Amino acid sequence: MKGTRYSISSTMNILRIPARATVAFNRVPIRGGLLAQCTSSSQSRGIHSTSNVGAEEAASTTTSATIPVVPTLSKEQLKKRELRRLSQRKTEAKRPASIHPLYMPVVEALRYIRAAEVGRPSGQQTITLTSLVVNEKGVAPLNGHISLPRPLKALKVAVFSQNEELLTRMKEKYHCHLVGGVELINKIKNGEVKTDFDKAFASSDMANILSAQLGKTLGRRGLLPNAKKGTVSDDLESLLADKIGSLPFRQTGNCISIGIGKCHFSDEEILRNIIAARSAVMKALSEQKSKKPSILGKTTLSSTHGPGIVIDFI
Amino acid sequence: MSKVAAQIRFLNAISFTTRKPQILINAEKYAGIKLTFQVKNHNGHMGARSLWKKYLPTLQFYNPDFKIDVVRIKNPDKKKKDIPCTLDIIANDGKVIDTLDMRNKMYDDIMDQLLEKIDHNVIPEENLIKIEPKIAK
Repeated sequence: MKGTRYSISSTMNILRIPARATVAFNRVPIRGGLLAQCTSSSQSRGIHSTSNVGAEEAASTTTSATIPVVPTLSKEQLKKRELRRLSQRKTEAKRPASIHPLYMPVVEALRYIRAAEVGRPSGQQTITLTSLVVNEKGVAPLNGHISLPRPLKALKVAVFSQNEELLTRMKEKYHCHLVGGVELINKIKNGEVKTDFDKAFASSDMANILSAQLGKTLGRRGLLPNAKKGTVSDDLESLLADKIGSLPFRQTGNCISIGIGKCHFSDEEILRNIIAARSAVMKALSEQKSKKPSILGKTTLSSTHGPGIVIDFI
Repeated sequence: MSKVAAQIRFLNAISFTTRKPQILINAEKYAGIKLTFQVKNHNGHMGARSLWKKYLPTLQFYNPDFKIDVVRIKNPDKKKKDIPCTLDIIANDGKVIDTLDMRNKMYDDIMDQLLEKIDHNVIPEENLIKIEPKIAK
């Protein structure tokens, strides 16, 4: 097959036929007569010195094989094919992970991944969990929040409130990077305090002042607390308990990918993170508002430079 | 070659087919090794880079607690000629007990030198981990 294509392209080069024409050539079965005509015309013009070789090659290939015609499918046939592929994906997803040729227990998989990542900078040693999702057309993609027991990166949190007692309690309990009220807003506005935090929470009385004073600086970076995002509440303590270590995840294409650790994390820490990821994904599946809920398929553990190893996730 | 077969081959290269680094290093004596070389191959640093790519994954696989540090120094304009190309063997107390010069050496020769310097036991073949291709039913 490859030989046939090569011969056609080489003949086309000789004939100086534009590349766009290859599509038409591939779809139409080429008979010896057509090629013979083409090659003979090129010879008569004397376009290329190697035209004889091309002609011989073309003649030899046309006798041995012809390019198959790519059939164009009707709408019904396409629909049937889609259904067939969906049912295939479903049956594959329902198979146990242990029968996959690349299946390994998590601890053994981590040993291989750590070996593959040896000597790499720690920033590149992220271990990722990827799970295939099988869903029907039109079903909303899975999404949710996950709070990892051992986060990949220590988050810097800022809390804005007028209640000083609450702020001191928050700083002790959640190790917040910045806590304060109006005076902190003024300091940030004047540039005395850097906005080097990753998340910000505020009580409802502070939300308006924040958006008026720091709307431009924090809003651009997506750090401005706002009720729609769920970062403004009067009960800041419970809000922080829920959100401080939580990361959003979302289905992209037909898979969910979650970073669950670094290579220097211990096996236990990574296992705990995998369990947390599992419960978050299961919660997202149970909360999915659809008549035909999605199902999870093959789950792999991989790293930036390492192999993808199938693990038991469900 | 299918994706699965290629992956099995990659995993076996780490745990089974790369023979020389299939050793158990005496953990009582050594804490780890530290390699220092250039990012690019010129000035005789190719052997060090090849050692890192070909042999260190297997060494790490069979010695999970052995610390392997790789420091790669950028020298894009090739002006600096004195960038070290060394392998330091570090003892449990943190002191460097031996240093190998890896410049202008093949990765095989560097590995042989390391095996001469370091106290180790070769892992017998029956204890090696091999991934056999399974046929999914």
